[in-house]
Amino acid sequence: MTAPLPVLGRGAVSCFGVGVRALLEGVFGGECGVRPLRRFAGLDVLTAVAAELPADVVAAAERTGEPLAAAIATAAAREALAEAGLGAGEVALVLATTKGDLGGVVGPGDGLGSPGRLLQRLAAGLGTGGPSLAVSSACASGLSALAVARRWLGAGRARAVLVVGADVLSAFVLRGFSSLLALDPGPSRPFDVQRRGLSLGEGASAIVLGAPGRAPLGVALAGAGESNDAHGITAPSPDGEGLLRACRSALADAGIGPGECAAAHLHGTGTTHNDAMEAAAMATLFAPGPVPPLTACKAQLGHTLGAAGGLESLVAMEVLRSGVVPGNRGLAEPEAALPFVRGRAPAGPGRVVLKVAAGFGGIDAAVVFSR
Amino acid sequence: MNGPWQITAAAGLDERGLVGARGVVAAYDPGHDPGERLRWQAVSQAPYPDFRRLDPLGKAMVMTAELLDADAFAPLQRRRTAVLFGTEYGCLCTDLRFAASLAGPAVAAGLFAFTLPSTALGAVALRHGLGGPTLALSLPAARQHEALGHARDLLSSGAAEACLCCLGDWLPAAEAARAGAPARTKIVALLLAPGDPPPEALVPDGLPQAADAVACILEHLRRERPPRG
Repeated sequence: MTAPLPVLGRGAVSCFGVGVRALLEGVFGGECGVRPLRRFAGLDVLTAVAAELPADVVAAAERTGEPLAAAIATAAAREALAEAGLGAGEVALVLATTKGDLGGVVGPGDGLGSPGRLLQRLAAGLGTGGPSLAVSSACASGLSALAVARRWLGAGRARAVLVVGADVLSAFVLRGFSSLLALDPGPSRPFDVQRRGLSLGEGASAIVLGAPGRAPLGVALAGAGESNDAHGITAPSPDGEGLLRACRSALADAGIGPGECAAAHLHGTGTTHNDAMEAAAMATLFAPGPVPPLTACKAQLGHTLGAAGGLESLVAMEVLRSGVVPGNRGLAEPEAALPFVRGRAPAGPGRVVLKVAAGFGGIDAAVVFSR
Repeated sequence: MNGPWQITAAAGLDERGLVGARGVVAAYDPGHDPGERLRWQAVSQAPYPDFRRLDPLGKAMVMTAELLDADAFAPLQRRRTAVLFGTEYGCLCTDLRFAASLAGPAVAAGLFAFTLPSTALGAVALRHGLGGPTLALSLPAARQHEALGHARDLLSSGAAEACLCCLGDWLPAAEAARAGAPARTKIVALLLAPGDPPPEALVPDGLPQAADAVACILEHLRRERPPRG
């Protein structure tokens, strides 16, 4: 069991703009970044909305000459390093992405959708010199990357690790999810009885973790757990068995029980199967005790795929720092009888927040942040 | 949690054929269409209806894993066995095929889920009931053996008790040409588990630090195992 790893720095680029502050003000302010399609207006897809990056952010990225995914990953990384007070040469690097830069697959470029190629660009642009790795575990990539960082720090392979997540929208991704009939025609409504699918988004996140010691931001990564439910290629096990194991593994890694969770930040895609699975897992995980406040933010940020774990972890950390749980936007009638927050609510008395994710291939992951 | 962690089973698939626990299962002539090699019956007579729904990478990985010694899985806690994949091109073959469908009358919906390399890993996990951490690591050919180091990290941390570590790429010539990348259709599957060294060396002492460790492993397996029948 590794000791809690202090969070030293944070960075973000999201539909709310550049910076962690913009992300947190948007989410905690109850705003919705899922808006009518702009760059992809007129695309043949079964939705009219997505959480696109603001136009000025895209324009600024284009001026760098870098692919959009690389530009926003770099921006998030630099913000996190600045907050951490570290130079790029002082950190190891783990990147989470699902499709990276699709240049060469669709349109010009040489990204080829390869996480490794995006990692190379990012490392070169930042000037990192330590160990580096690109991981891809579908929509759980972000939490898997945090787990990798935790193992590296626990094994003494690095003294600080920069964990970056990034994914951008494209016709490839939008039409792909549309072909699976997985998109809500309007903004998604996770956990609602009337939910009709997910809303896609894009963004980048960055978290600098340090070796055990002082936590300047008052929050640390205390545990991580990963699993596979081996149930189906795309559909999760209905009883949430795999996610349950990941959560228990993360809590055990942190050396705490579920009763110490002040809140749980869920994956909450808005799809029929995922949300039902998560509700089942949470009901079982916290039984027989009370379920803490539950929240999710893909209705605000969109599903940012490889960036989701990191961006949403930043929100989970802020729940701990602020003691406030933002509400589940779009939730009018919960399908499951669980304490889903609507509006805002105080966090529970516990000292940790659980963050979970799931992805195609039966993949589940969970992390625990502590004060 | 410390080792020793040993490679207790190994198998491989490439343009020359298939080699598994019981030796060389099939050998192909040069120039044989790689797509033609992805036939479930080449590795097993047991029915597996889901095979036809997999993409080429998924088929290659499931076939390779099937060639492992079934006895090697027996002592493992499958729910605590991880699945890792060290790959440079991942699902690029499927990405290109899906992208091509975007220009046609109908998007290839059946391919989209496989435009994530972890989906092929999920197929392997599903086939063998493996419930541990599952992730693809993007590594160039000359560094794919580093996935074993990450597997050992995972085991040492206690996150899993064994690990099925696949290495390689499935990028046939046609798709490789479109991507401007070298063609490469080689996959090996290595089972890393607690145990004493096996009586035969399944892989070369240490893993080669030079280009294409996967090719070296396959060469070693072919030398050590006779053709079947």
